[in-house]
Amino acid sequence: MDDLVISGVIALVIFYAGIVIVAYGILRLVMIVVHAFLFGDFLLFGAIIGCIVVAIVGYVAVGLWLRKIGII
Amino acid sequence: MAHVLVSPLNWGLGHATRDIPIIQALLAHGHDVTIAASGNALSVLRQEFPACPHIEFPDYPVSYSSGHLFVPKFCASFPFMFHGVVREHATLEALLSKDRYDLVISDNRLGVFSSKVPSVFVSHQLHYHLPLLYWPAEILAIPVNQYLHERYDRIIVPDNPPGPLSLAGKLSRPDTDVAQERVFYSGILSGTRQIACTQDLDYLVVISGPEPQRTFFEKILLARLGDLGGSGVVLLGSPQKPEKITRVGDWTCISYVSTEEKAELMNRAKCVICRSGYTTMMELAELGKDRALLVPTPGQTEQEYLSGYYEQMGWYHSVEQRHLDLADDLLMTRHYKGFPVMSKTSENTKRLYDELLAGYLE
Repeated sequence: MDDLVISGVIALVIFYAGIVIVAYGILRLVMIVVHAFLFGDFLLFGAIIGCIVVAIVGYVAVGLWLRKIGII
Repeated sequence: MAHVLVSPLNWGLGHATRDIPIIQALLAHGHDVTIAASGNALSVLRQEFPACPHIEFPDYPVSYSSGHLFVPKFCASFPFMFHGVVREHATLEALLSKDRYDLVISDNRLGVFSSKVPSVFVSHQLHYHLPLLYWPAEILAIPVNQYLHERYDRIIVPDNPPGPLSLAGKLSRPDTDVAQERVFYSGILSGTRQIACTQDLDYLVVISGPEPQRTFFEKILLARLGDLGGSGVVLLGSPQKPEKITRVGDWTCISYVSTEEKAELMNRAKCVICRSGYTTMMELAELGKDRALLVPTPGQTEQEYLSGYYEQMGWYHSVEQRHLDLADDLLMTRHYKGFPVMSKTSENTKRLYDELLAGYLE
Protein backbone atom coordinates (compact mmCIF):
# COMPACT_ATOMS: atom_id res chain seq x y z
CA MET A 1 0.00 0.00 0.00
CA ASP A 2 2.72 2.42 1.02
CA ASP A 3 4.66 1.43 -2.04
CA LEU A 4 1.65 2.25 -4.27
CA VAL A 5 1.05 5.61 -2.58
CA ILE A 6 4.71 6.69 -2.52
CA SER A 7 5.41 5.69 -6.12
CA GLY A 8 2.18 7.29 -7.31
CA VAL A 9 2.81 10.57 -5.52
CA ILE A 10 6.40 10.72 -6.84
CA ALA A 11 5.21 10.00 -10.40
CA LEU A 12 2.51 12.67 -10.20
CA VAL A 13 4.91 15.27 -8.78
CA ILE A 14 7.48 14.56 -11.54
CA PHE A 15 4.76 14.62 -14.22
CA TYR A 16 3.23 17.94 -13.17
CA ALA A 17 6.61 19.50 -12.35
CA GLY A 18 7.69 18.61 -15.90
CA ILE A 19 4.62 20.34 -17.32
CA VAL A 20 5.26 23.45 -15.19
CA ILE A 21 8.94 23.61 -16.22
CA VAL A 22 8.09 23.25 -19.92
CA ALA A 23 5.32 25.87 -19.65
CA TYR A 24 7.69 28.25 -17.84
CA GLY A 25 10.35 27.72 -20.51
CA ILE A 26 7.84 28.50 -23.27
CA LEU A 27 6.68 31.64 -21.45
CA ARG A 28 10.26 32.88 -20.97
CA LEU A 29 11.04 32.24 -24.60
CA VAL A 30 7.95 34.13 -25.75
CA MET A 31 8.92 37.06 -23.55
CA ILE A 32 12.46 37.15 -25.01
CA VAL A 33 11.09 36.98 -28.58
CA VAL A 34 8.57 39.79 -27.94
CA HIS A 35 11.26 41.89 -26.22
CA ALA A 36 13.67 41.39 -29.12
CA PHE A 37 10.98 42.34 -31.65
CA LEU A 38 9.84 45.44 -29.76
CA PHE A 39 13.41 46.71 -29.32
CA GLY A 40 14.30 46.07 -32.97
CA ASP A 41 16.80 43.28 -32.33
CA PHE A 42 15.71 41.41 -35.42
CA LEU A 43 18.84 39.27 -35.53
CA LEU A 44 18.02 37.78 -32.11
CA PHE A 45 14.33 37.63 -33.05
CA GLY A 46 15.08 35.77 -36.29
CA ALA A 47 17.56 33.46 -34.60
CA ILE A 48 15.09 32.45 -31.89
CA ILE A 49 12.23 31.95 -34.36
CA GLY A 50 14.59 29.86 -36.52
CA CYS A 51 15.58 27.76 -33.52
CA ILE A 52 11.92 27.27 -32.57
CA VAL A 53 11.06 26.11 -36.09
CA VAL A 54 14.03 23.70 -36.09
CA ALA A 55 13.03 22.41 -32.64
CA ILE A 56 9.39 21.84 -33.72
CA VAL A 57 10.46 20.08 -36.92
CA GLY A 58 12.92 17.98 -34.91
CA TYR A 59 10.28 17.13 -32.29
CA VAL A 60 7.79 15.98 -34.91
CA ALA A 61 10.49 14.13 -36.85
CA VAL A 62 11.57 12.22 -33.74
CA GLY A 63 7.92 11.34 -33.04
CA LEU A 64 7.43 10.09 -36.61
CA TRP A 65 10.69 8.14 -36.47
CA LEU A 66 9.66 6.48 -33.17
CA ARG A 67 6.35 5.51 -34.80
CA LYS A 68 8.14 4.18 -37.85
CA ILE A 69 10.48 1.93 -35.87
CA GLY A 70 7.60 0.75 -33.68
CA ILE A 71 8.71 2.15 -30.31
CA ILE A 72 5.44 4.07 -30.01
CA MET B 1 -13.95 -25.53 -5.19
CA ALA B 2 -12.32 -22.16 -5.38
CA HIS B 3 -13.67 -18.68 -4.77
CA VAL B 4 -12.91 -15.97 -7.34
CA LEU B 5 -13.43 -12.22 -7.15
CA VAL B 6 -14.13 -10.62 -10.54
CA SER B 7 -13.94 -6.85 -10.67
CA PRO B 8 -14.45 -4.96 -13.94
CA LEU B 9 -14.01 -1.25 -14.43
CA ASN B 10 -17.22 0.73 -14.97
CA TRP B 11 -16.12 2.85 -17.95
CA GLY B 12 -18.79 1.85 -20.43
CA LEU B 13 -20.09 -1.69 -20.45
CA GLY B 14 -17.19 -3.15 -22.40
CA HIS B 15 -15.14 -4.36 -19.46
CA ALA B 16 -18.13 -6.04 -17.83
CA THR B 17 -19.43 -7.74 -20.97
CA ARG B 18 -16.10 -9.25 -21.95
CA ASP B 19 -15.85 -10.77 -18.47
CA ILE B 20 -19.14 -12.65 -18.99
CA PRO B 21 -17.50 -15.62 -20.75
CA ILE B 22 -14.78 -15.78 -18.07
CA ILE B 23 -17.38 -15.89 -15.29
CA GLN B 24 -19.40 -18.48 -17.21
CA ALA B 25 -16.29 -20.68 -17.48
CA LEU B 26 -15.55 -20.34 -13.77
CA LEU B 27 -19.13 -21.24 -12.82
CA ALA B 28 -19.18 -24.14 -15.27
CA HIS B 29 -16.17 -25.60 -13.44
CA GLY B 30 -18.03 -25.34 -10.14
CA HIS B 31 -16.19 -22.35 -8.67
CA ASP B 32 -17.84 -19.59 -6.67
CA VAL B 33 -17.69 -16.14 -8.17
CA THR B 34 -18.23 -12.84 -6.39
CA ILE B 35 -18.71 -9.79 -8.58
CA ALA B 36 -17.25 -6.50 -7.35
CA ALA B 37 -18.24 -3.59 -9.57
CA SER B 38 -20.29 -0.43 -9.72
CA GLY B 39 -22.86 1.37 -11.87
CA ASN B 40 -23.96 -0.10 -15.19
CA ALA B 41 -21.15 -2.68 -15.14
CA LEU B 42 -22.56 -4.14 -11.93
CA SER B 43 -26.14 -3.98 -13.27
CA VAL B 44 -25.23 -5.96 -16.38
CA LEU B 45 -23.37 -8.65 -14.45
CA ARG B 46 -26.09 -8.91 -11.80
CA GLN B 47 -28.64 -9.40 -14.56
CA GLU B 48 -26.45 -12.00 -16.24
CA PHE B 49 -25.50 -13.86 -13.05
CA PRO B 50 -28.30 -13.32 -10.52
CA ALA B 51 -27.06 -16.19 -8.34
CA CYS B 52 -23.58 -14.73 -7.87
CA PRO B 53 -22.98 -12.58 -4.80
CA HIS B 54 -22.10 -9.02 -5.69
CA ILE B 55 -20.35 -6.15 -3.96
CA GLU B 56 -20.79 -2.46 -4.75
CA PHE B 57 -17.20 -1.50 -5.48
CA PRO B 58 -16.77 2.12 -6.62
CA ASP B 59 -14.04 2.92 -9.14
CA TYR B 60 -12.68 6.22 -10.36
CA PRO B 61 -14.07 8.96 -12.56
CA VAL B 62 -12.79 9.57 -16.06
CA SER B 63 -12.88 12.94 -17.74
CA TYR B 64 -14.25 12.85 -21.28
CA SER B 65 -14.07 16.05 -23.28
CA SER B 66 -16.33 17.22 -26.04
CA GLY B 67 -13.48 17.32 -28.54
CA HIS B 68 -9.74 17.24 -28.94
CA LEU B 69 -9.06 18.39 -25.37
CA PHE B 70 -9.33 14.78 -24.25
CA VAL B 71 -5.61 14.33 -23.51
CA PRO B 72 -5.10 17.51 -21.40
CA LYS B 73 -8.31 16.88 -19.46
CA PHE B 74 -7.35 13.26 -18.98
CA CYS B 75 -3.94 14.33 -17.63
CA ALA B 76 -5.61 16.79 -15.28
CA SER B 77 -7.73 13.98 -13.84
CA PHE B 78 -4.68 11.87 -12.83
CA PRO B 79 -4.70 12.88 -9.12
CA PHE B 80 -8.39 11.93 -8.82
CA MET B 81 -7.80 8.64 -10.59
CA PHE B 82 -4.78 7.94 -8.39
CA HIS B 83 -6.85 8.63 -5.29
CA GLY B 84 -9.49 6.24 -6.66
CA VAL B 85 -6.87 3.54 -7.28
CA VAL B 86 -5.49 3.84 -3.74
CA ARG B 87 -9.01 3.75 -2.31
CA GLU B 88 -10.04 0.68 -4.30
CA HIS B 89 -6.83 -1.10 -3.30
CA ALA B 90 -7.60 -0.44 0.37
CA THR B 91 -11.19 -1.65 -0.16
CA LEU B 92 -9.92 -4.85 -1.77
CA GLU B 93 -7.48 -5.56 1.06
CA ALA B 94 -10.30 -5.11 3.58
CA LEU B 95 -12.46 -7.48 1.54
CA LEU B 96 -9.75 -10.11 1.35
CA SER B 97 -9.23 -9.99 5.09
CA LYS B 98 -12.92 -10.80 5.66
CA ASP B 99 -13.50 -13.60 3.12
CA ARG B 100 -11.38 -16.32 1.58
CA TYR B 101 -10.57 -15.81 -2.08
CA ASP B 102 -8.31 -17.96 -4.24
CA LEU B 103 -8.01 -15.62 -7.20
CA VAL B 104 -8.67 -11.97 -7.99
CA ILE B 105 -9.49 -10.98 -11.58
CA SER B 106 -9.26 -7.26 -12.25
CA ASP B 107 -10.53 -5.97 -15.56
CA ASN B 108 -8.58 -2.75 -15.96
CA ARG B 109 -8.97 -1.77 -12.31
CA LEU B 110 -5.49 -0.70 -11.38
CA GLY B 111 -5.96 -0.92 -7.62
CA VAL B 112 -7.50 -4.39 -7.62
CA PHE B 113 -4.45 -6.55 -6.88
CA SER B 114 -3.10 -8.20 -3.78
CA SER B 115 0.17 -9.65 -2.56
CA LYS B 116 -1.80 -12.23 -0.53
CA VAL B 117 -4.00 -13.68 -3.28
CA PRO B 118 -2.96 -14.43 -6.89
CA SER B 119 -4.12 -11.50 -9.00
CA VAL B 120 -4.79 -11.46 -12.72
CA PHE B 121 -5.24 -8.33 -14.82
CA VAL B 122 -7.44 -8.23 -17.93
CA SER B 123 -6.59 -5.56 -20.50
CA HIS B 124 -6.25 -5.20 -24.23
CA GLN B 125 -3.98 -2.18 -23.73
CA LEU B 126 -0.42 -3.04 -22.84
CA HIS B 127 0.63 0.08 -24.69
CA TYR B 128 -1.21 3.41 -24.69
CA HIS B 129 -1.57 5.26 -27.95
CA LEU B 130 -1.53 9.06 -27.93
CA PRO B 131 -1.58 11.63 -30.74
CA LEU B 132 1.85 12.31 -32.28
CA LEU B 133 2.10 15.66 -30.47
CA TYR B 134 2.21 13.81 -27.15
CA TRP B 135 4.85 11.21 -28.07
CA PRO B 136 6.99 11.84 -24.94
CA ALA B 137 3.94 11.00 -22.80
CA GLU B 138 3.44 7.77 -24.79
CA ILE B 139 7.03 6.79 -23.98
CA LEU B 140 6.63 7.78 -20.31
CA ALA B 141 3.55 5.55 -20.08
CA ILE B 142 5.71 2.47 -20.82
CA PRO B 143 7.55 2.39 -17.43
CA VAL B 144 4.34 3.41 -15.63
CA ASN B 145 2.60 0.42 -17.20
CA GLN B 146 5.51 -1.80 -16.24
CA TYR B 147 5.18 -0.70 -12.61
CA LEU B 148 1.45 -1.50 -12.67
CA HIS B 149 1.86 -4.83 -14.47
CA GLU B 150 4.40 -5.98 -11.88
CA ARG B 151 1.59 -6.02 -9.33
CA TYR B 152 -0.17 -8.88 -11.14
CA ASP B 153 0.73 -12.52 -11.54
CA ARG B 154 -0.57 -12.69 -15.10
CA ILE B 155 -2.10 -10.36 -17.69
CA ILE B 156 -4.93 -11.69 -19.83
CA VAL B 157 -5.08 -9.88 -23.15
CA PRO B 158 -8.39 -10.52 -24.96
CA ASP B 159 -6.71 -10.44 -28.35
CA ASN B 160 -4.78 -12.72 -30.65
CA PRO B 161 -0.97 -12.59 -30.29
CA PRO B 162 0.82 -9.79 -32.16
CA GLY B 163 0.69 -10.51 -35.87
CA PRO B 164 -1.76 -10.50 -38.75
CA LEU B 165 -4.73 -11.55 -36.57
CA SER B 166 -4.18 -8.98 -33.83
CA LEU B 167 -7.33 -6.91 -33.30
CA ALA B 168 -5.78 -4.33 -31.01
CA GLY B 169 -2.62 -3.80 -33.08
CA LYS B 170 0.12 -2.03 -31.21
CA LEU B 171 -2.09 -1.59 -28.14
CA SER B 172 -1.75 -5.25 -27.19
CA ARG B 173 1.97 -5.45 -27.91
CA PRO B 174 4.10 -5.96 -24.78
CA ASP B 175 6.72 -3.20 -24.46
CA THR B 176 8.56 -4.53 -21.44
CA ASP B 177 9.99 -7.82 -20.17
CA VAL B 178 7.49 -7.70 -17.30
CA ALA B 179 4.54 -7.65 -19.70
CA GLN B 180 6.21 -10.21 -21.98
CA GLU B 181 6.65 -12.67 -19.08
CA ARG B 182 3.12 -12.27 -17.74
CA VAL B 183 0.99 -11.88 -20.85
CA PHE B 184 -1.52 -14.52 -21.95
CA TYR B 185 -3.25 -13.87 -25.26
CA SER B 186 -6.66 -15.42 -24.82
CA GLY B 187 -8.08 -14.44 -28.20
CA ILE B 188 -11.32 -12.48 -28.40
CA LEU B 189 -13.70 -12.62 -25.44
CA SER B 190 -17.21 -11.46 -26.18
CA GLY B 191 -20.49 -11.82 -24.35
CA THR B 192 -22.29 -11.70 -27.72
CA ARG B 193 -22.77 -15.06 -29.39
CA GLN B 194 -23.60 -15.99 -32.96
CA ILE B 195 -27.19 -17.21 -33.32
CA ALA B 196 -28.91 -18.88 -36.24
CA CYS B 197 -31.12 -16.20 -37.78
CA THR B 198 -31.85 -14.47 -41.06
CA GLN B 199 -29.99 -11.28 -41.79
CA ASP B 200 -33.13 -9.26 -42.43
CA LEU B 201 -31.85 -5.86 -41.28
CA ASP B 202 -29.91 -3.80 -43.78
CA TYR B 203 -28.37 -1.61 -41.09
CA LEU B 204 -27.91 -1.55 -37.37
CA VAL B 205 -26.81 1.83 -36.04
CA VAL B 206 -25.35 1.68 -32.55
CA ILE B 207 -25.04 5.13 -31.00
CA SER B 208 -23.02 4.75 -27.84
CA GLY B 209 -20.22 6.16 -25.75
CA PRO B 210 -19.82 9.04 -23.34
CA GLU B 211 -21.74 12.30 -23.53
CA PRO B 212 -21.77 14.81 -25.11
CA GLN B 213 -20.33 12.98 -28.12
CA ARG B 214 -23.10 10.38 -28.00
CA THR B 215 -25.72 13.09 -28.56
CA PHE B 216 -23.67 14.76 -31.35
CA PHE B 217 -23.39 11.40 -33.10
CA GLU B 218 -27.12 10.79 -32.70
CA LYS B 219 -28.00 14.15 -34.26
CA ILE B 220 -25.62 13.68 -37.19
CA LEU B 221 -26.86 10.18 -37.97
CA LEU B 222 -30.58 10.76 -37.51
CA ALA B 223 -30.43 13.76 -39.85
CA ARG B 224 -28.91 11.60 -42.60
CA LEU B 225 -30.78 8.31 -42.33
CA GLY B 226 -33.27 9.55 -44.90
CA ASP B 227 -30.48 9.40 -47.52
CA LEU B 228 -30.37 5.63 -47.19
CA GLY B 229 -32.60 2.99 -48.68
CA GLY B 230 -33.40 -0.28 -46.93
CA SER B 231 -34.44 -1.08 -43.42
CA GLY B 232 -32.62 -0.52 -40.18
CA VAL B 233 -32.65 -0.14 -36.44
CA VAL B 234 -31.05 2.71 -34.52
CA LEU B 235 -30.05 2.03 -30.93
CA LEU B 236 -29.74 5.34 -29.15
CA GLY B 237 -27.92 3.92 -26.13
CA SER B 238 -29.73 6.17 -23.66
CA PRO B 239 -30.62 4.00 -20.65
CA GLN B 240 -31.54 7.11 -18.65
CA LYS B 241 -34.37 8.03 -21.04
CA PRO B 242 -37.72 6.22 -20.83
CA GLU B 243 -37.86 3.28 -23.21
CA LYS B 244 -39.27 4.62 -26.44
CA ILE B 245 -39.65 3.08 -29.88
CA THR B 246 -40.15 5.37 -32.89
CA ARG B 247 -40.86 4.09 -36.40
CA VAL B 248 -40.12 6.10 -39.53
CA GLY B 249 -40.73 4.12 -42.74
CA ASP B 250 -38.57 1.00 -42.57
CA TRP B 251 -36.46 2.44 -39.77
CA THR B 252 -36.94 1.89 -36.06
CA CYS B 253 -35.36 4.01 -33.35
CA ILE B 254 -35.07 2.47 -29.89
CA SER B 255 -33.85 4.45 -26.89
CA TYR B 256 -32.30 1.45 -25.16
CA VAL B 257 -32.29 -2.34 -25.45
CA SER B 258 -30.97 -5.09 -23.20
CA THR B 259 -27.67 -6.80 -24.05
CA GLU B 260 -29.60 -9.87 -25.31
CA GLU B 261 -31.75 -7.79 -27.66
CA LYS B 262 -28.70 -5.94 -28.90
CA ALA B 263 -26.93 -9.23 -29.59
CA GLU B 264 -29.93 -10.44 -31.58
CA LEU B 265 -30.04 -7.23 -33.63
CA MET B 266 -26.32 -7.46 -34.33
CA ASN B 267 -26.80 -11.00 -35.58
CA ARG B 268 -29.62 -9.87 -37.88
CA ALA B 269 -27.76 -6.88 -39.33
CA LYS B 270 -26.00 -6.96 -42.69
CA CYS B 271 -24.08 -3.79 -41.89
CA VAL B 272 -23.27 -2.22 -38.52
CA ILE B 273 -22.59 1.48 -38.03
CA CYS B 274 -20.88 2.05 -34.68
CA ARG B 275 -18.07 3.51 -32.61
CA SER B 276 -14.75 1.67 -32.73
CA GLY B 277 -14.58 0.66 -29.07
CA TYR B 278 -12.60 -2.52 -28.57
CA THR B 279 -15.45 -4.55 -27.10
CA THR B 280 -17.67 -3.71 -30.07
CA MET B 281 -14.82 -4.77 -32.34
CA MET B 282 -14.64 -8.12 -30.56
CA GLU B 283 -18.40 -8.46 -31.12
CA LEU B 284 -17.95 -7.86 -34.86
CA ALA B 285 -15.18 -10.47 -34.88
CA GLU B 286 -17.26 -12.95 -32.89
CA LEU B 287 -20.22 -12.58 -35.27
CA GLY B 288 -18.02 -12.62 -38.37
CA LYS B 289 -19.48 -9.34 -39.68
CA ASP B 290 -17.84 -8.34 -42.93
CA ARG B 291 -19.54 -4.94 -43.32
CA ALA B 292 -19.28 -2.14 -40.80
CA LEU B 293 -18.77 1.59 -40.79
CA LEU B 294 -16.65 2.79 -37.87
CA VAL B 295 -16.90 6.32 -36.52
CA PRO B 296 -14.45 6.81 -33.60
CA THR B 297 -15.48 9.03 -30.70
CA PRO B 298 -13.62 12.33 -31.31
CA GLY B 299 -10.72 12.75 -28.94
CA GLN B 300 -10.70 9.13 -27.79
CA THR B 301 -7.23 8.19 -28.89
CA GLU B 302 -7.73 4.44 -28.54
CA GLN B 303 -10.78 4.41 -30.83
CA GLU B 304 -9.06 6.71 -33.30
CA TYR B 305 -6.05 4.40 -33.41
CA LEU B 306 -8.15 1.24 -33.81
CA SER B 307 -10.29 2.64 -36.63
CA GLY B 308 -7.18 3.89 -38.45
CA TYR B 309 -5.53 0.50 -37.98
CA TYR B 310 -8.56 -1.37 -39.40
CA GLU B 311 -8.74 1.01 -42.34
CA GLN B 312 -5.05 0.38 -43.01
CA MET B 313 -5.51 -3.40 -42.75
CA GLY B 314 -8.45 -3.22 -45.18
CA TRP B 315 -10.83 -4.72 -42.59
CA TYR B 316 -13.39 -1.94 -42.08
CA HIS B 317 -14.03 1.50 -43.45
CA SER B 318 -13.57 4.23 -40.90
CA VAL B 319 -14.45 7.90 -41.04
CA GLU B 320 -14.09 10.82 -38.64
CA GLN B 321 -17.41 12.05 -37.26
CA ARG B 322 -16.93 15.54 -38.72
CA HIS B 323 -16.29 14.11 -42.21
CA LEU B 324 -19.12 11.58 -42.16
CA ASP B 325 -21.08 11.36 -45.40
CA LEU B 326 -23.35 8.47 -44.57
CA ALA B 327 -24.50 7.44 -48.04
CA ASP B 328 -21.01 7.61 -49.59
CA ASP B 329 -19.26 6.05 -46.63
CA LEU B 330 -21.69 3.13 -46.57
CA LEU B 331 -20.93 2.50 -50.24
CA MET B 332 -17.24 2.45 -49.33
CA THR B 333 -17.81 -0.30 -46.73
CA ARG B 334 -18.37 -2.76 -49.60
CA HIS B 335 -14.67 -2.56 -50.48
CA TYR B 336 -13.54 -3.92 -47.11
CA LYS B 337 -13.34 -7.57 -46.13
CA GLY B 338 -14.04 -7.58 -42.38
CA PHE B 339 -11.85 -9.23 -39.77
CA PRO B 340 -9.98 -12.37 -40.79
CA VAL B 341 -11.27 -15.71 -39.54
CA MET B 342 -10.14 -16.32 -35.98
CA SER B 343 -10.95 -18.57 -33.03
CA LYS B 344 -14.18 -17.62 -31.26
CA THR B 345 -14.98 -16.92 -27.63
CA SER B 346 -16.09 -20.46 -26.67
CA GLU B 347 -12.80 -21.97 -27.82
CA ASN B 348 -10.77 -19.11 -26.36
CA THR B 349 -12.46 -19.31 -22.98
CA LYS B 350 -11.82 -23.04 -22.77
CA ARG B 351 -8.12 -22.52 -23.52
CA LEU B 352 -7.94 -19.62 -21.06
CA TYR B 353 -9.38 -21.77 -18.31
CA ASP B 354 -7.30 -24.88 -19.04
CA GLU B 355 -3.99 -23.12 -19.60
CA LEU B 356 -4.15 -20.30 -17.08
CA LEU B 357 -7.05 -20.10 -14.62
CA ALA B 358 -7.09 -23.79 -13.68
CA GLY B 359 -3.50 -23.43 -12.44
CA TYR B 360 -4.70 -21.13 -9.66
CA LEU B 361 -7.96 -22.88 -8.88
CA GLU B 362 -7.49 -26.67 -9.06
